[in-house]
Amino acid sequence: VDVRLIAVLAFAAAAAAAPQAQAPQSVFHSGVDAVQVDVSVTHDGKPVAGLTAKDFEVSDNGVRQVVRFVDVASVPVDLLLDVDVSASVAGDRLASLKAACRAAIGALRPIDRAGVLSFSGQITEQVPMTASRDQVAAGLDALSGAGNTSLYEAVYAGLLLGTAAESRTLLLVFSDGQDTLSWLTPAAVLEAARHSAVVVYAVSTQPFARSRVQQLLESPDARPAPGHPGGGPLLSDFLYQVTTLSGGRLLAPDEPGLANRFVSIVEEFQNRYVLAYTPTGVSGSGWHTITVRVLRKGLDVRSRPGYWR
Amino acid sequence: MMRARTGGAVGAIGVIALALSVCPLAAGGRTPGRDQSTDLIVGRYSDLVYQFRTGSPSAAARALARWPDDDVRRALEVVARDLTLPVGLDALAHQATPDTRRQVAEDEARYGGPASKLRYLKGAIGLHTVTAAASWIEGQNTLVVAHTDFVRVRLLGLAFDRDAAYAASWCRVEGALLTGSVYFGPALKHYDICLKHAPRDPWLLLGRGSTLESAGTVIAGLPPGTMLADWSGPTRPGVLAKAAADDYARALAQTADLDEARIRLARLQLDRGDLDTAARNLTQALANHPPPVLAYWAHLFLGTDDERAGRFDAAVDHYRTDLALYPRGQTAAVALSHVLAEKLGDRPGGLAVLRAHIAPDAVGRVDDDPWQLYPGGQVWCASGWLDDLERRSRD
Repeated sequence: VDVRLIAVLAFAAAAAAAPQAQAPQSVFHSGVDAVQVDVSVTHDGKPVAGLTAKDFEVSDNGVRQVVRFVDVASVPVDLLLDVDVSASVAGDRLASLKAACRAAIGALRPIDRAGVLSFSGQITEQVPMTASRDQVAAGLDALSGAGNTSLYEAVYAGLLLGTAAESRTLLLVFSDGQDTLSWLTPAAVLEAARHSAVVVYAVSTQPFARSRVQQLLESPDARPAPGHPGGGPLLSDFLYQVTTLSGGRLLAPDEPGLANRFVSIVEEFQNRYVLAYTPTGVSGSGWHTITVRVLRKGLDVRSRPGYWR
Repeated sequence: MMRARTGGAVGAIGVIALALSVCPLAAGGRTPGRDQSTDLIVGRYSDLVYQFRTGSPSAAARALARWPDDDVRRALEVVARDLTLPVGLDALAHQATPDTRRQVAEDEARYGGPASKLRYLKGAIGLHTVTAAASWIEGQNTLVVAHTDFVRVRLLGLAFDRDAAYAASWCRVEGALLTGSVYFGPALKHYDICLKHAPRDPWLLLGRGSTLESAGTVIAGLPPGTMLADWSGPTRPGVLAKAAADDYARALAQTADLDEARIRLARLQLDRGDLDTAARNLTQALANHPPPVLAYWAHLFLGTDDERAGRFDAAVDHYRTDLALYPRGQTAAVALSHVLAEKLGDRPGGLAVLRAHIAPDAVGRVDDDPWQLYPGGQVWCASGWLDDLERRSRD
């Protein structure tokens, strides 16, 4: 199984395996083939609280599964900030970005950790994942803007580092430009996203792409615009794809501001639901499509669309 | 989007005329200046030019340093008047932004000598030995390239009329600097004009090919309805890639051991899925024992070629070879990490490689990762030309 196995989660402890959907539990255990699904449920953009496992319906390759509920309150979050510090971010933008990062860190709970990846032409693990807020603050202070933009490789690095974590990992990507340097292709990074359980949220400030971003957000089924042979998709398309594949979201920064946007992402992530199930009635390796439905109407549900095993 | 040499490009342009002036010319000995006025200053300039052309640039620089500023200015005015330039140096300089002025000042300081005189010296020598290059070059220093097409056309024509080989060497450097500064549109115009005069110059063909290739990569990522500034070339990435490949092939037809052209051609072949041909070209280039930067590129591309063919272990070998050449080569490290983690199922191995190369103390300078030199389109060999020019300017 290529998604993170519940059995290796640090928070996994004994809990009764439920034969059917049940109320949230703080702990659980399962077999090594168990699959974890991180689900966002919102209404008008606001997280919806108070759902139980009974409200969800999960299918694996079309076969309905018996899901268990993980109490996310007891599960640490690893927030990995993956921020563009290329030349176009230098100056006031960088100051605003640092402030937004600090605000995001401030929204974490004591049990959570944070780390900082920065990227321009090169990627730097500015602050490895740590519980020390001071260490993160010092790392943010040290950021400076210069150089090209290796967005695709920075996202790949974030996915790989996040996959190694033993907590729920939120990869928060910030970029304001077009990838100008990555050797890894967007397709390769998207493939890595399919293999990862990291949830990716992204904030793109690329001004000319905003209408395209909006279009994608309004029509989630829309395919990336054709006509880009020989090159990657638009930045916004790439970020849209990688966030969608991971069950996260691509957002614009301007409303209600970058710092507020970062905080809202952290809060949304903290209020997501984590479902778990041991695949039953499905076999074979390869891609497994996960379908998550909430039985209440009018809610926006986001989760990763599947996993490799 | 900036290039590794962009910072140096502005200043390096300024030293081109200087270096060109010390290159051997077809005609030896003293050549009368274009200006035949009775202004005595012209004679003093002619002496300087002679010193430069006979291999005494330092002596010429020292001599000029002793000139009063007014004499320097007056001499340049005489020469500029003779050339009847449509755009004067002052007008060009007037358009410079404060940032550009600061950059020019920094570059002048870097190259040493009395700043204003050195600049005029470069201009004056360029005027007398080649064409009215000085004003053009000073115009470049003000970053108003896009506004000087008329000057460019006129001066390049004059340059090739006087000494084609000399002009071509100048054009190669200028084209590389324009491309490296992400002025793809002006660079393409520049190469097109130069190639009309020297259609089989392999270095110019290589330069235009790399400009087309890089422009294509950038254009491919642009949203519909947007285009590069000042771009008048093809707009479809596939067409650009083919045009670039054609230029590389033509360059190789002139000089079969032009490894950079072969490696760049192979990358385009890789892009279009012609894996076998790409691998053959890359292997052939490596057999010539190219400089480490080119070897790094070749192994990077061979690694990808192997990945696409499903030969993951072979890809690992190529990426490791790159890391042996450039231990801080982050691109090869990321590629190695990716193939280990995603293709060979060795996530701990992939993670270890990645972590080892993205730790703050492991991240090197841009020059430590030769891939970073590639996408900007500036031919790698231009670095050597520029280093040579800088060295000469300090002599």
